[in-house]
Amino acid sequence: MSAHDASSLLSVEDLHVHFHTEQGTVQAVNGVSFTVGRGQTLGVLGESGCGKSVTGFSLLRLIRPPGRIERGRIVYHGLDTELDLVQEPSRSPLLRQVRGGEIAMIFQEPMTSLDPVYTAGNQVLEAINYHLDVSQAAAWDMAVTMLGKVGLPEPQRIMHTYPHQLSGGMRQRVMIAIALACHPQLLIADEPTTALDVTTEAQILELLQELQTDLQMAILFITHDLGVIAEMAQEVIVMYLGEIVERTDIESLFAEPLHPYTRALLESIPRLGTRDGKRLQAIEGVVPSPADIPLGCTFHPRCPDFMPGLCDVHAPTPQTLTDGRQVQCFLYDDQRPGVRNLQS
Amino acid sequence: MTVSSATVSPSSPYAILSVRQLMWRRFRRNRLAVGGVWILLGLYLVSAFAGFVAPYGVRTTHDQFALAPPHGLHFRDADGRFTLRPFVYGLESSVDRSTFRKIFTRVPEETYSVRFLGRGVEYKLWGLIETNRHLFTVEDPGVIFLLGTDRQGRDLFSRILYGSQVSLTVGLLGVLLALVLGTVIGIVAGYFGGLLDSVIQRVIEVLLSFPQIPLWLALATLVPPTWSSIRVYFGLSLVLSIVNWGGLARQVRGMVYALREEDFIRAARYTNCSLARIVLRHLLPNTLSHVLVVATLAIPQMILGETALSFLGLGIRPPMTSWGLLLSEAQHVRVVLQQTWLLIPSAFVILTIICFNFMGDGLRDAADPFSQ
Amino acid sequence: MGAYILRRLLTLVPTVFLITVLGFIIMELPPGDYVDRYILQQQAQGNTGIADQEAMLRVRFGLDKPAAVRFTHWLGAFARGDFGDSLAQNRPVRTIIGERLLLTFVVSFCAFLLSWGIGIPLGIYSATHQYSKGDNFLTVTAFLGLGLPDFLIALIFLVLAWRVSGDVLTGLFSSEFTTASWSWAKFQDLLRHLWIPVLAVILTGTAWVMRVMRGNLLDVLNSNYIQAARARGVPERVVVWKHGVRNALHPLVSALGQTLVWLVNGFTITSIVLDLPTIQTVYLNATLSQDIFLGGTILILIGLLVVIGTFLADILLAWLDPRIRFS
Repeated sequence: MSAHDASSLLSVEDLHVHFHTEQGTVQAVNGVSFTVGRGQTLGVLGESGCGKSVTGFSLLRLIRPPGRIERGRIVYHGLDTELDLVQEPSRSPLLRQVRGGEIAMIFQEPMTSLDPVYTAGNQVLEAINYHLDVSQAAAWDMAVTMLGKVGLPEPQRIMHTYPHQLSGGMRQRVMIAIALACHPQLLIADEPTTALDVTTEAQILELLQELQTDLQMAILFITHDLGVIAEMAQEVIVMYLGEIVERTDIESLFAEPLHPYTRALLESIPRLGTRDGKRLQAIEGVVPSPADIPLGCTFHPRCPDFMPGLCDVHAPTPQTLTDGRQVQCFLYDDQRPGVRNLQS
Repeated sequence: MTVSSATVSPSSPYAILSVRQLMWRRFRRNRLAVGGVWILLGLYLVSAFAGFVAPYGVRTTHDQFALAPPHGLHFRDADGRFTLRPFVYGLESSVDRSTFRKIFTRVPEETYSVRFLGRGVEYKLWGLIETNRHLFTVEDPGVIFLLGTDRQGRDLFSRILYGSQVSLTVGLLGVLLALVLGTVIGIVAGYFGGLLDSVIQRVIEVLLSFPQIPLWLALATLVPPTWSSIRVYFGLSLVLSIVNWGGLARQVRGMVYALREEDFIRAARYTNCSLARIVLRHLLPNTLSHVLVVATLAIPQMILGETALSFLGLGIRPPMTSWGLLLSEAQHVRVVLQQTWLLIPSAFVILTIICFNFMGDGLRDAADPFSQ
Repeated sequence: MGAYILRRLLTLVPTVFLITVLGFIIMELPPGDYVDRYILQQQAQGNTGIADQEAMLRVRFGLDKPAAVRFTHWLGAFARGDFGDSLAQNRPVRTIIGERLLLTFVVSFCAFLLSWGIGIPLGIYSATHQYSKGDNFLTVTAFLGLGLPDFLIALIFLVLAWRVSGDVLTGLFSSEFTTASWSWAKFQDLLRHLWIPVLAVILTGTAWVMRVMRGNLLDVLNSNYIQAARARGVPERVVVWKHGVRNALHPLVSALGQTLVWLVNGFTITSIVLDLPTIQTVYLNATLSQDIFLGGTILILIGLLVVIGTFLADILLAWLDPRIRFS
């Protein structure tokens, strides 16, 4: 798909992740391709159940049965040679080195992401010891420094505390310290602030931005929150039912959303200062079950611009527009007869 | 600022299944559970027609054939000719001169063919219909002991069938009683709360932490020896249930306690619904499916309890019989070593218990239709 | 931790009290009282004049007082270790129990250690190899183990051992060693007899421990902190043992009391079938002969044993789990 220039760190090509359940196969991720540039932040936006978290987990090969990466490539360019993570055996030392060493991840649920029976220090040290060949004393110092860096007060004391003695915000800071302890080149942040209150959320986001500049790392920021994505990302991919429906820079996302789904997402934001008495716009219907994906364009049952005979029959292909943005919708496909062309 | 999505539109094409339908679907997929149910149905069916299926009555004795080993049906006679109608060989008892033990030898010259739907010992089907038709009998003076005989020369196969009528039902009856006890106590504790609740909770805790078998033994000694066997039967199921209601009560209490604060119960209270109506219309139906699962899982324990008590001579008493009572003949080690077939009733106990366990596990998984 | 133990000790009080009440009620339930039975016993021994002293005997044993008073008296004596006399054996209950206690503990402890020692590793294997051939085999075996009553397993082993060796391995010692003093040969003889009851009881126990461990570990391995540990590059072996097994042990430890329950249950009938000199055999004979003080005392002791076991399990759990330790 996109070209691998020197600045790209991770490229995902035609990724398919399926879950084989008793009820049938669920196509959670269905042909996703994107590239994360070095030091860049790529936002992944979508409603719950659209496959954005599964995409994040599959980058670290953390999909558990009955889930499986069916096909596609996840190529990491951060090492001397290109490494296709999909091809690595699940227990290979190289994969382990990438996990936490090259690509790290922080999770949606800071309350349950730390093992309750070990101290925070133990878990930070664990990350360091499995990646860096340093003495125990040096590892301890590194861990304390890292805990200080994520803004935790009295890092020496935090080393000895158990997760249940920390607040949600503090636990997420510990998670960030664990993730960044080995200076990874890419951080996957899977809705890291969803479970936190608004003040803590702002602090954590600010911290992530600081650390990003400090450590020169790229971030794949997964969220359903348009406000958060506006703050964090330079580039955004919008996902719907396991597919990328639009890829755009952050300014255009808000100024001129292309895909009907993206437009609907933006319209559902309440705005201050609009007093025209209009009801808040919600997207009609719910996300269909991924086990039961509609034919044709997957968004057509909820789409305000639904074109009968076209959208419910044919699946649209990704269209790259002249400004480099990409959208998967017949509205922008000039190959289809009878389609209005916004480009002219 | 978050993306919102509306509720399901009425025209949604996706079928909405009730919880019960989901449970049924899940249960049907569990092959072990369904297999267990079929075997159990078979066992109960045979047990219901025990008098008909058994070639002999529960008390029919054959003095000269005490402790005869099982001797099977044959389709091929001594000359190797095949006959469609199975037959049994005659039996001859004699005393081994070296060990002074009674031994049985087959008499190849005597063959007796099996008659289907023939006449035999009189019995009353369900205590109503008097008849002497049996599924199979053998021509006089031949005898048919598919699973051998006991010390008094009674056909073990027939006795196992009659015993199943007790063993398969005493557990059900016990669970039913425990269900009533547990549900009532559980609802009272959960709905009223307070001191009463704490006391009941403690009692349940003690009951649950106590080993059942010693407690059953202690209670079983209280059944007076003068009671008739039918009263003993009911007494025994009462003993079984008195020890076992705790688990059910705890389950019900927990659910009622949680439900009590639900909006629909509050709404019922505020609209002056009577207590009986709240309990019967709102609380019971909501706890039913979970309670049934717990009850199913308790059945095998009760069956084992009956077996153990009867085995030790504290349960069912003659002239009634049960699998445990049949097994008590095998209590003496010397007997087991020489007359191994007396252990056969245990195979039926095991089969029943395993089937109930499979069924209970299937129900438990199915009762949580949103898991996985 | 100290405060926790103290608090837990306090909750023990009502439970222990309830157990003694339960024991007392069961002792009181049979028709007739101690004096009735004492008189019957004395008459059987030819002491015919005893019936005239019935009222005096009642006063002497305090049986003329209301139930609550009798209960306090009995509880006081019980707490001092005076359990009364066995009617059938005409000896103090304390002596009878004391004779059997050590062997009961030895046999039960062996069974306990073995069932946990075998059950936990099998459960871990089953959980880490879910739906594999090995897991399916273990699942079916566990169902069999849970479905088979222990005494039947014991009988089956007995028949097998007899077929193989020609010996009848009931009891704990062969006849020539029963009264002999301890020697290497006697110990070997004990081992030869011990395996049948222990194996019979642990088959059920192992199956139970294995199923609980499998379920717990599967739950834990699906939790977020396991994925988080994998995500930071912790090797799978360490993920399973350091994070998975350690957390999955907690529910098992808290079910330690439950383990004691099936040990007592299992050994009750197995002991009787195999004629083992354990407390459970004494208990059955006591209940059969309505020897209430003996039976009641053993019943209460069993209850107390389980309660103390559960208490120790809770302390152990608090030591294992910082969430309880620091609360």
